[in-house]
Amino acid sequence: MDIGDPVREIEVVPEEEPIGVPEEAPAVEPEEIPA
Amino acid sequence: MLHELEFAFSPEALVGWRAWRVARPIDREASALELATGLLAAERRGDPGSVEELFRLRLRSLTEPTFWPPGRRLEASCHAVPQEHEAPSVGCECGVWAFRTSAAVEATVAAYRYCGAPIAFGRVALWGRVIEHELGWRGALAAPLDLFVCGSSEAATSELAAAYGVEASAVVWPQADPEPLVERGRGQVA
Repeated sequence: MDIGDPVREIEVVPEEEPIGVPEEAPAVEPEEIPA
Repeated sequence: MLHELEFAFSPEALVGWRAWRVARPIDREASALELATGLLAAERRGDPGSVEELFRLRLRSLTEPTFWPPGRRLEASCHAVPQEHEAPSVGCECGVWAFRTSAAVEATVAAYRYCGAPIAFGRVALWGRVIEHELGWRGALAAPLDLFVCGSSEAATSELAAAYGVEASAVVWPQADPEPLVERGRGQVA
């Protein structure tokens, strides 16, 4: 992974933090996940 | 010079692309002591359901043992030797990484195709202090915005979507772009 050289410093202050709201969901059984 | 970086301000979160492993915290090669220490710390913080949390599918950094917390921002930290510092730091590689383009992250995901575990990629919001690089960013605070999940089931994809409150889709593995391989003199990939 390479993102090159730093070029600028930015102070980012959004009005609202863009964080998704989790929903309750049942966990998937481990055997459903391929190895 | 590193200390002469231009400074800017943004009232909107920056949006980049990154990839994650999809894993359960219990799957991590942790010792019983690490697990017990983590559970004790969670109990002292008053986190409910901390044992159940170990069995939930979560996004994990590709290169670090960090799991991304659902419903909360990820806060970058750096424990560099000899001196810890706030992340991201200009002279370090710390912070939450994101690529500027989807093509860059898809090339990364393609390289993990045979790693034996599902990989997710998608857009990520970065805010707080952010170091802009030529091809991406390193940020202090981050949260996923949407997910594309490779090598996993629809049910697992839905679990991730619900956990992080984002849209998620199960997709086929992206193809590696042959151009960089040609440039390195390794020939065309069939």
